[in-house]
This record gives sequence, C-alpha cells and structure tokens, in this order.
Amino acid sequence: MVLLLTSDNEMFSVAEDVIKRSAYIKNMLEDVGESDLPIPLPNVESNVLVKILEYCEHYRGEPLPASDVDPAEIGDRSLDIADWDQKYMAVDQEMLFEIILAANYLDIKSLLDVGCKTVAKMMKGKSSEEIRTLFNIANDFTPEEEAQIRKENAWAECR
Amino acid sequence: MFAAFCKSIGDSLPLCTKGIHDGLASSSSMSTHEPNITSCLPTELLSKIFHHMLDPFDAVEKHIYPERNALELLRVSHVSSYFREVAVNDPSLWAKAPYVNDVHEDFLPVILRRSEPCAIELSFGDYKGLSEDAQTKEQLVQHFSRVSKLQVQIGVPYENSTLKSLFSLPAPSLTDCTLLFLVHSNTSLDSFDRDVLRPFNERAPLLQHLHLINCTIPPEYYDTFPKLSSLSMMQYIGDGLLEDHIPFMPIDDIFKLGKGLSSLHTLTLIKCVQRGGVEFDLDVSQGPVYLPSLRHFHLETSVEGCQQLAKVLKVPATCARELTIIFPGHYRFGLEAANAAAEAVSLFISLNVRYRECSITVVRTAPSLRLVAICGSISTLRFEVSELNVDLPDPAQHLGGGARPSFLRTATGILTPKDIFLHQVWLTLSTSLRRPLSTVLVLNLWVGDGSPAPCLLVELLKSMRCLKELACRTSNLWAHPYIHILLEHDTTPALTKVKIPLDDDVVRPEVLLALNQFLRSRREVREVTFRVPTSTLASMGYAAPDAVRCLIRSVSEHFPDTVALDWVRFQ
Repeated sequence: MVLLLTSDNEMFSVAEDVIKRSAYIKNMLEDVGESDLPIPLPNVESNVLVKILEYCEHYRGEPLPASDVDPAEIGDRSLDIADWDQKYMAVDQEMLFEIILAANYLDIKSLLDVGCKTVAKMMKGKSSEEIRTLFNIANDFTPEEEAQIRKENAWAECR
Repeated sequence: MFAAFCKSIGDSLPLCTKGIHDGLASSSSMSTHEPNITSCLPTELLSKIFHHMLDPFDAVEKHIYPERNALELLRVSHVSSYFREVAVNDPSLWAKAPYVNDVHEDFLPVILRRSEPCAIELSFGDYKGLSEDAQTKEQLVQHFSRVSKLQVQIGVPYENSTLKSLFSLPAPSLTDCTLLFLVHSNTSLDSFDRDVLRPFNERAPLLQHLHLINCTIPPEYYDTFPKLSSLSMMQYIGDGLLEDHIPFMPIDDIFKLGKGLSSLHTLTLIKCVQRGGVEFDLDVSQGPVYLPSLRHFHLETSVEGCQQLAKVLKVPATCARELTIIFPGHYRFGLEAANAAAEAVSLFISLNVRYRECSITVVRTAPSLRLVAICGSISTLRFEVSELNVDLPDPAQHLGGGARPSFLRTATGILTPKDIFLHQVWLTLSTSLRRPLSTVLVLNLWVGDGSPAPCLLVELLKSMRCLKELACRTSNLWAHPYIHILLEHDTTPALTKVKIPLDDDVVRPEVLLALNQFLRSRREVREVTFRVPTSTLASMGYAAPDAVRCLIRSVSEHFPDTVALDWVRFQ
C-alpha cells in the first residue's frame, strides 16, 4: 500500500497497482523504494484525489500508455470519449478543471487526455461569446486588440 | 531522507507543474468567485485543449476539407487576451489549419505565418479559380517545402493547375499525400497536363503514405519514395460522376513497382487493376514480385484481376490480407464463375500455415470467410454479391441432380439462384482450402435473418475436421430450420464446445428446445459458454454477475448434467 497526503492533510492508503497509473508516483516509488512515510501531494485536495482514485481503480490492470508522445500532437485528435469516461467527467466545471490539473501534476496521461477532450468538446463549434459565457471569462481585450479582432472577424465572414 | 527527497522533487518540478502552482494559486485566490478556465489552466494545457478542438487531417473522407480548423482557431483567439496569447503563439495549432478555397486573401498569409516553423497540413480543392489567384498560388509554392500532409481534390485536369505547380516541386517534408481526381478515372500524374512531370521533382524522401484516387503515378518513380510504407490506389465512383468503371492501373506495372515497394507495409488496390494482355504472360514467366515488408494487403477486384494478381504478387505468410471479389451487375455469371472466384481468392491463402479460427459471415450483400492463423495473421475472403446477376436458366437442375446432397434437394423451393451460386463458392472453397480448413479449431458463425446458409455450408464445415468449438453471433441461429444439418455428427465430428450469446432470443422456447435436443443427441459436447455483451453487463449494474448466473440457470435447466457451464464477457 502507498500512503498519500493531500493538501488539506488527509491521508489515503492506496494499492500500489492502482496509483501506479500516475507516472509521477510510479517514478517516485521506483526512485525511493518502499517507505512508511506518506507521499505529499501539495497540489491535490482530498475531494479531487477521491475522484482521481476512482479513475485509477476503474482502469486497474489495464496496460499503461507506452508512449510519452501527446496523441493530439501526432494526429490522434479524435474527440471520441469512452462511455464510462464521459460519465466520470460529468462533474461541475470546478471539479473538471481540478481533475485536469491533478492529472497533469500526477502525470496520468490518459486522464489528462480525457479531461482536455471533455473541455474541447464543450468549446468546439461555439462562438467566442458563447465560450466566454460558458466559462465565465471576461472580455479583457484592449481597444487595439478589439480593432484587430474586428478586422479578423471579417476573414471568417468572407466564406 | 524521504522528506528531503520530496523537497528536491518539489524544487525540480518542471515548468508545466510550476504553471499549475500559479494556476492553483490564482484559483484559490478566487475562491469566492465562479471557477474560471482562464486563471485555472496553464498555457500548455489550454493549448492541448485547443489541439483537441481541431479536426484530424483524415477524420473525414479524404476529399472533404478540414477547413473548420482555421475558423475554430479564429474563434478561440477572440475569447480573451489569455486565449489569444495561447492560440496565436502556438505554431503547431496553425500548422493544422491551412485551407485555401474561399479563404480571405489576408487570412491565408496569417495562417501560414503563425504556423512557422512547423510542418503544415495543406488541403484544397484545385479548381480553375484557384490557379487564377496568383497571390495564393505563390504563397503555396513558397511554403510547400513545409507541407507534411497534402490533400488535393481536382475535378478536371486543367492548364496551369495549382496541383501541377506543387507536384513539380521538391517536397522535403511531405509524409502523407492524398490526390483525388473526381471526373477523370485514369489520370496518369506524369502527364495529366500534356507536359511530363516528375513527381515532386523526384524529391519526397519522407513520403510514407500515398493515396491515389482515380489516378496513378507511373511505376518508375516509386524508387524516389524510399520511405513509402503505405500505398493505396482506388477507383472512386461517387455520386455517379464516373459513368465508365474502367480499371486504370495496368497489372504489368506491378512488376516495375517491385523494387520501389520493398519497404511497403500496406498495399491497397481497389477496383483499379487492369487485366494484362499477351505481354502479361511473358512477364509472369519472370516469377512473382515479393513484397517482404508487407503487413496488410487489401484487394478489391474482379475474378480475373484476382487470378492475375495472384501470379504477380507474393506476400509474406504473416501478412494480413483482405480480398474482395466483385461481380458487376452488368455481367451475368454462371456457376463456373463461382468456382473461379473461390479458386482465385484461395491462391492468396498460405496453405502451409496452421489456422486456429475461422469466421463465416453469411449476409446478403457480401458473405465472407475469415481465417486467423496461429501466428495471428488474418485472411479475409469476401464475395461482393449485392449486384450479382446469376445466369442459371434452370435452378432445379442444379439442385435435383443425383450427386447433390439430399438437404439441397429438399431446399429446392427456398434457394434462389444467388444461393446456389454461393453454395458453389463455398463448395469450391472447401476443396481449394481443404488443408488450411483442416487445422481450424474454432468456428464463429453469423447467418443473416432468413438466410438458408446452413444448407450451403455443409461441405465447408466437413473440411474443418478438427473443429472443436462453435460460436454463434446470435442465439436465434439455434432455431434456424436447417441448423441441425451443420450440427450432425457427420458434419462436425470433433465438436466438444459451443458458445452462445446470452441475448434476448436465448430464452425463446424454440431456441431452448433446439439447444436441449442438440446437447442430448451430441453427448460429446460437454462445454457451453455463454457470451454476455459488455453493454448487457453494464445495464445490469453491480449485481450483474448474480443476474447472469441466475439467467444461465434458467436457460440451462434441462441441459444434460454432463455439460459444464461458464460465461465470458463479450464486446
């Protein structure tokens, strides 16, 4: 078992084969060897870790991704998301982004990929204004940038 | 020590993780506000999300452009200053955006500039209006050395076409190339505009994937593509644009291609092989062309095309092959064509390989037989009969003859000329593939609704004399009126195990009756495994294993005690 200590000081005892989906933890365990001390996760809160462990538990025993190459970079940009992953990602936006950040921090490539795809799906095909509304983003362009954007908008309307 | 290690890990966190710290810090400082993607996600993660928003280069059919990518990037770059900073400063995003047709004259240069120095994916329809736009054409020529993926659709070849300009240029970065000629079905790319062209000026050193639709590159140029691993040539007959279905690649070209294809992994030839004439026989005497690296071979052609290619091509035993024989509707085919078709595809099956599994699918449009070798290679033989026009003046004569099995005579009123044709195909395969079939241990059987297939497959199954396991795709096959013919001891003497889907039909009284009768008459069959679809298990929730066992108990209530029961998850 591996002990994990979250940023809000909660301790988790997790099976090694479950948490080894995290390349960060896996490498740490390989480097340090067995230890009774908990691994601190200063960037992960307990409610997020619970969610992360649910993912790792579900894919327990499945082969780990072999390549370090980002699938999106090499052309695998399909937005297909497995049914279970879709249900798993059906969370509020705050949790969604926390999962993405934690997956990045813990280096769980497949989870990071699913998280990014989920956000990409939410944004795809939407107008700039719709994306702002969806994610509560302020329009903070300077007047000069606004002028440039108005010009660029004409490029899209040309079609 | 461990604590010190953890501190050192923290100190040496990569930049991206430090970005998370920043993101988290700003996130926590905003704890009283709604979550905001802008403050949460570091640059590289937002960029990754943008990448996922772009259509893959080959997500849709090759001849449809991914022009949405540029518009998608335009939209996200107009959301906020942070989004804009991320989108505009990631050249790899804009490298996936270039499209040409109808683009605003100011936009294309921006896309190309923002994509520098990355290799770009370029896609366009080559119509006359495009070549008249000198500025666009010049920009494409200027950036062509960066093009890694090229996709061009062209209607009618025309003077000074953009494709011609690009096709004559060196392509040092090109890895994927798809060229589709819509109207002309047999355009040779070295001469489509009267002038002779040398493809990519004979400099495409990285080209790996070449897809030619309704066009060819003469064989002598393939030596200039030393990295070519995937080649497909196909005749595309869409929307009735091509009235004449003319194969366009002379089969003799295969001999000339040989050396240039030595590193080829995938070869696809769809309705493009033109039958050889007198000279072909002379070429054949030189022996076949061996493609040592080939892993996938996909052929769709006529009976004659298949026969001739079998003489021309030799593929490694480990190569997966998918062969489809087409029977064009404007010809009439007699039973001799059925024999010839079965023999032609059999020429591509390695006779000295041991096969562990066979799958037979009998559906109306394209029945098929698939063999899986012990080494894992898969051979699929398919007969495209949707347009088949059978020339069989007196079907009864072919069914009622003394040499014909009794089950065929009893089915006289049911079998159509197409069924009789297919029976002849299966019968010939049972002879020409006798040796490979004799090694098969497992048979997967899928018969379409209302098909008399079990009557047609008897000889084929008799050739599988070591067959131990029969798996059917739907349980209602057990209620088929002719299934008993296949399950008789004389047909499948070595059978000891059956696999049955645990689907809705399995509880039908006629299915249960047939299963019970079979198990009681074939006492040597001692194993029944139920295949439970993953979707069924998912719908059952956490209690799925108990629910499955309960259902199996109900189904197997009257099975002989000697039968062992099991179940497996099935995709």
